[in-house]
Amino acid sequence: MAVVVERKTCIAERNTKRIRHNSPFHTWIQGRASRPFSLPPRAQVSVKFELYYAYLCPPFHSEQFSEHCTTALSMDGADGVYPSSEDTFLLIEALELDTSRIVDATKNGGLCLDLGCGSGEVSEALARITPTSFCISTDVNHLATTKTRELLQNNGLINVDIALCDLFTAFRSTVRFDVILFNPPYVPTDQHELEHAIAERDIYASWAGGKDGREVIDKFLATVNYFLSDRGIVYLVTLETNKPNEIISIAEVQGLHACQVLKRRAGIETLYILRLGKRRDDG
Amino acid sequence: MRLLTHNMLHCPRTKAYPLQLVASTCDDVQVPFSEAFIRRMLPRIQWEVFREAAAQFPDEDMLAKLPESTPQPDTLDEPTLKAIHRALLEWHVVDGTLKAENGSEYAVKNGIPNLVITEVRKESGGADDANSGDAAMDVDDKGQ
Ligand SMILES: C[S@@+](CC[C@H](N)C(=O)[O-])C[C@H]1O[C@@H](n2cnc3c(N)ncnc32)[C@H](O)[C@@H]1O
Repeated sequence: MAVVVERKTCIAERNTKRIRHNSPFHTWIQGRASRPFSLPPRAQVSVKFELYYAYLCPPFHSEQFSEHCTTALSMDGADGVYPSSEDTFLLIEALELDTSRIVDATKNGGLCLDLGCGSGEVSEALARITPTSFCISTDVNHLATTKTRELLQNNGLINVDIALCDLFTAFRSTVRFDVILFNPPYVPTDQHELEHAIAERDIYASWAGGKDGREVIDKFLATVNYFLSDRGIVYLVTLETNKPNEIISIAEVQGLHACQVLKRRAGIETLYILRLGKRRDDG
Repeated sequence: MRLLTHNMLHCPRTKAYPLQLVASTCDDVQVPFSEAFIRRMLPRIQWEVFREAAAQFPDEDMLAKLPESTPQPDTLDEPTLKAIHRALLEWHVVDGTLKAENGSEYAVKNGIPNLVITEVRKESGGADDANSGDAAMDVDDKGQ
């Protein structure tokens, strides 16, 4: 469990760095209405980005942060790629807790998919947990695929390939994966923002989820079961706002077994890791 | 990009399969051999597509050992398994092109195939044109 502890320390460190005092976000948040996720229509990317972050970390208004709030945030994400965050680490924690299940699902060699790989930390964790598998990491953002490649190369992980593609659209219909991971863009946004994400495939694509933050998740849910092998399992990150229970019901209608494996409060939101699978005991 | 990945990709616009591979730069990275893995992957591979793509690699010795048609699991000997392993996992396409029969082309740059498609925004005409079902589509060519 040493790894988990290390990750938690890492999360604690990140939180203190997250909000820059007197940043555009800091100023804006003070005049903000109480409605969560209501973004100013054409706010600066940096403001939106920081806002997004704020909902995924403990209280941001307290003075204790200002001491440490230097340039960390503006550096995070400045390369145009979603920086590993609480959701990333929660997903990794779920994979670590579920190691034996993943090893079982990929026994004698499996095919795995990390959808929306971002900075690549989830791909890296997966490639380590199941070294006998071949993994594919994909993203729509070319900066994310490049960053993931660097991370994997620096760590000497040779069991992963990378591709730029949108959800499952580039895979022939007979492909079956044994493990599918997706930490999707799950933040509720207006259509304007979602359209920007779809057209530009930039940093907006890392959070813009449209209505209830569900639009990309729902597209994923509509096809995921076709790409899952009989022993296959899916790990999906969601927010309370995404209505995880409804997601579980949708998965069940598709013939998958589904359950919640981890739940954690992060700032004002609650993150869930859901597991979907074809075998009864995976759900 | 390894051939295992190439084998799974189709044209995201038309679902045309396979995508013809033309490799301009290749690389060769050693991967520990696992017979179990190769045996597990064989039923998941479209053999003819795999074999044809493997011809892009400058490795006559390996090619000679790849059977013409889908090998039966019980007839596989070690040299054949090792040749499959090599073609499937050790050879990388670093730069190249994936061509669909309808003429669409997708680039492979620095080992990463780019299969996202972008709607071409019309310079003139209504802003809504790009959203109509039959709007012209084009292969995205953002740098990597
Ligand atoms: C919340 S971030 C997660 C990044 C990384 N997996 C992590 O856990 O840190 C979501 C990622 O999904 C990507 N993404 C968004 N829409 C996508 C789509 N339709 N297909 C593939 N990736 C997508 C984004 O570019 C972004 O990198």
